Parts: sequence; structure tokens; C-alpha cells
Amino acid sequence: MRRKIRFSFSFVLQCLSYLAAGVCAASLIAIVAYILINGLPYVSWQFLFGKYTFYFDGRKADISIFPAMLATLLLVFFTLLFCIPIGVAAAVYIAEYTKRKNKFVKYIKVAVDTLTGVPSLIYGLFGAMFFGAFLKLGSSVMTGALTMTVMLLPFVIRSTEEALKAVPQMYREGSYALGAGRSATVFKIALPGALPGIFTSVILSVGRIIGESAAILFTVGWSAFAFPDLVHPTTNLSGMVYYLYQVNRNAAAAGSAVLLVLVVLLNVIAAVVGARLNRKRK
Amino acid sequence: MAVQPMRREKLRAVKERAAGIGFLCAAAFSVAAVFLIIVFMLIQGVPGIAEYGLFKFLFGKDWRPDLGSYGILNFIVGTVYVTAAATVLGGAAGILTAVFLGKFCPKFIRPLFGQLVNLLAAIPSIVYGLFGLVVLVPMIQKATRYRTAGVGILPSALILALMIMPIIVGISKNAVDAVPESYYEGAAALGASRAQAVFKVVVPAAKSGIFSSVVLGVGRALGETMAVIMVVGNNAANFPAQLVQPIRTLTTNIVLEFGEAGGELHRNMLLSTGLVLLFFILAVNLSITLAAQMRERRRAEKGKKPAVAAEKGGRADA
Repeated sequence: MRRKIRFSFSFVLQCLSYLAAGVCAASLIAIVAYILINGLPYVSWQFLFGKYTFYFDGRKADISIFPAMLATLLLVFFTLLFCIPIGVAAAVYIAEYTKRKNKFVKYIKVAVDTLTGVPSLIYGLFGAMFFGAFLKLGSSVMTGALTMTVMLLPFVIRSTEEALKAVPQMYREGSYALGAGRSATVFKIALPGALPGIFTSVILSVGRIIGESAAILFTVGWSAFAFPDLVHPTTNLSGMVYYLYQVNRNAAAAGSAVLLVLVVLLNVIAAVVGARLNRKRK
Repeated sequence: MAVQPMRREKLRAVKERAAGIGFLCAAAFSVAAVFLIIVFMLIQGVPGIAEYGLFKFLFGKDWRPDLGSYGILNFIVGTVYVTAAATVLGGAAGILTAVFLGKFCPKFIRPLFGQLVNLLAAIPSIVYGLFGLVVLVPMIQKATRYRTAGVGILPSALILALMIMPIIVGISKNAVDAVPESYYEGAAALGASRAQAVFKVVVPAAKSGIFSSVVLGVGRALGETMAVIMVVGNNAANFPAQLVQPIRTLTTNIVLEFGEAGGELHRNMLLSTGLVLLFFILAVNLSITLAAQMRERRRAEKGKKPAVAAEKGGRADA
């Protein structure tokens, strides 16, 4: 009797797992569909590439996310400029320069895990207080880029480390046998082998920089109306959507549709590169 | 002539050394960052608490910056409720989806479904928030016959459940995949059905990985801000007592007021709120590390072979 109950319980769980997977897929489709249906009708040339103009007499304004897009590009450029070299070099140190039981590596790994768990809002507060107030960079693209660098570091380190581990040990041994030193082996053998993996992490990082909002509001700013520079408050695409949500819901819907399209596009690129990588490995 | 190769050799050694030190510095950067974040949050957060009083701060129910009262009990309780509800919903759905992906899913759907989960993880939180605002909130309004605003714990927990699901699915699936096929085969050979073999043998063997995936999900839910801010209602005065009722969480309290914080104390108290949040997050992270250490110690005592554990932070297609 007892056995029968157990059997049916497992079976119920199996059915539930089908249901959960269905809910998971359905929610993704629902989100993408709703955001696109609600937002795309309001996307226009003016909205994407026009000027942001206020009309102070009336309530109307020509809303445009173009300034925010430019600021996002700046932010992406500088974040990657800082983050990728540091992250890749740190991963090289962990994967190529140390033995597994090294104590310092253990500390680095704990640090990377901790950084992964810290929420973006805390990064935002830290960035605002440290880079913005303490180092006197104010609310600017620079402050934001430095904050995002710290925030994305664990992700870049971990994915680069994985990509380095996937490069066959044989290649390195061949390089050493030919008389190359450790750094030559790293730069000529290990890193080129890990390049597709690093590229994937760069693409996904770009997606996170575009989509980040909590860490952006107090480090870069929450609105962008004019051509951005490096030292004044501006915002990224996601921050702009948050601003628009407060002033014009239709524009916010349009902005989030643009955001979604960009993020999906970046993920598809990353997935294609990842798939090619896997095929090569086989 | 004979000196030159020697010199080149030396130069090469110096270069190697420099490269090594450079890589080391980069690696040390993340350790320094963790220290800097914790130290800086302490420096910024402690003065406010010291001035206002820890007990009044943590257990005060009134957050009225205009009247000089800064109690965050309402927000702590709100955060705990929202996170707990999201973890139960997202955890159950995420683990079951991971089991489906690992064991029941037809082979040709697997990579596609993996990408789908990755995409769910990549959607910006602001988009989740707008989705909740446009879709969930009106639905809840309708379900309560327009007697509520449709905002509060329920929509927040639903949105957060959706947001933490990809993390839980990704890591749990790695854990399920890491269980040797022989476990399943052994159970099947003893006469277990497919469902029994999976849920009585494979899933328990993967429980450490599944546990850490859920804890990581808790961390994410605790710290999520921009999605919650749009559907939680943001009323500081309400003590969370109902599923649908405008409340505030720790994170949303900071975002709502940090930009326009009037006085020095107000700003400091918001930073103290951030410190409390960071404390929660570090405690959650620590629990993963401690659990892993305890497992290892137990294993070392028994002298058993290491059981299956999942890599942290795996992507679903890995």
C-alpha cells in the first residue's frame, strides 16, 4: 500500500515538472509578447534618433532615447575598457599561474563569489559614495563605468577562467616544449584558445550594462536629454526607461521594447558563438 | 658576444616576473574590491545608526524623514515576506524545471530550452517591472474586484519568482546532470519507475547543488530593486499584513529617497538601510560557504568519495 502512494507521489512530481517547464516557457513568451505589443507601436524615428525637446507651455514633449543611447555607448566602451583587461588578467592568474591548492586563489574565489552575490543597488550606493563623492567624480559616465567594472568583474573572471580551462593542456605543453616561457604561452596559446569564450562574456556584459538600472541611477544619473559627456549626469537606456515610466507610460513601454530587442539580440549572438565553440571542441 | 644571450636570458626572466606580478595584481583587485565595498558601506552606514540608535532603527515602525523618525521594521518584514514567497514559488518551479530539463526533456528541445532560460535571466529588471505593472497588477485588481490597488507582496513575489527561476534552473540542472548515470540505472534495475528513479535517487544525490542554487536565488530576490519598485506600492507607513497592500522593501526605500534625501541624517539613514541589506546578503552568501565546508568535513571524516556538486554560477546551456 505504502509503495503505491510513493509511486504516485513521484509521478505527480513528474507531472509538476512538465507543468513548471511549461510555465517557464510561457512566461518568457508572455513577457516578450506583451512588452513588444505594448511598446513597438510607440517606437518611431523621432523616438529612436530624434532630439529630446521640451515644450514648456504645453504638456507635450518630443521624447527621444537617442541621448540615452549615446550615453549607453560611452558607458559600454569605458566599462569594457576597464573591466575586460582586469578580469581576463585575473582569470589568467587563477587558471595559468597557480596550483589548485594555492591559498591566495582560495581568497580570490571567495571574493569573486561574494562580489557575485552583492546586489546591484549596493554597487550603486558604493559607486556613488566612493567614486562619486570620495574620488569626486560626481554623477557621470566615468563613475558609472568604474562602478559597472567592479560589478561585472566576477562574471568576466569566471567565464574567462572557464574558457581557459577548456583549452587543452596539450597545447600548453607543446608550447613549453618549443622553449616558450609562461607569459608567451599565455598570450600565444591559452588566450587565443579562450578568445571565443571571452567574446561571449563581453557580449553578455554589454547586455548587462545596457539593462542595468539600480547601479546606474545614483552613479550616472536617471535622465538624459542632451548629448552626453564623461563628467555630467546622464543615464543609460534602462535608466531612461525608469525616467520615462514616471513621466509617460507609453514612452516607457516603447523604451522597454527597444531594451528587450537589444538584449535578445545580444543573447542570440552569444548563443551562436557559444554553439560554434562547443562544436569546435567536439 | 657570449654575454648577449645571457643578457637576453635575464631580460626574459624579468619580463616573466613582471607579467606574473601584473596578473597577480589584477587578481588581487577583486579581493580589494570586496574589502573596499564592505569597509565603505560600514563607514557610510554606521554613523547614522550610531546617531539614531540601533534598536530604534531596526525595530521602529515609523519611517517619517520629515518628522525625524527612521524605523525600518516595516521594510525588513516586507523584504522577508517578499523574498520568502518568491523563493518558495521560484524555487519549486525552478527545481522542477531543472529536473525536467535534465531528465524528462526530449533531446532536441534541450539546447533550445537552455537558451530560453538564459534569455529569461538576461531580461533587464526594469522590463520585468513594467511587465508586472502592465499585466500582473491589473489582473490582481480585477481579481480583487477593484477593492485594492493590485500592488504589494503578491505581484512582487510573482515577478521575483520569475526572475530568480533562471538562476535556480541553471545551477540545479548542472547538479542534476552531474549525478552519474549509474545512479539512475541502478534505481531502474531495482524496479523503480522513471519518475521514482529521478525523484528518489537522482534528485537527492544532487541536493547540495540544488540547495546552493536556491540560496543564490534568495540572494538575488533580497537585492532586487527596480522590478519590485514598480509593483510593490511603496507606502512606507503600512506594516505588511496582507498579500495585496502597498508596502515598501529595504531596496525600494533606498532608491525612492536617496536621490532627494534632504538632510545629512536622512542620507545616512538610507545608507544604513543599505548596510542592513548588505548584511543580509553576506549572511546568505556565508551560509553557502559554510554548508559546503561542513559537507567537505563530513566527507573527510567518513573518508567517502566526493559526492556530486554543481559548479556555482553555471549557465543553463553549459
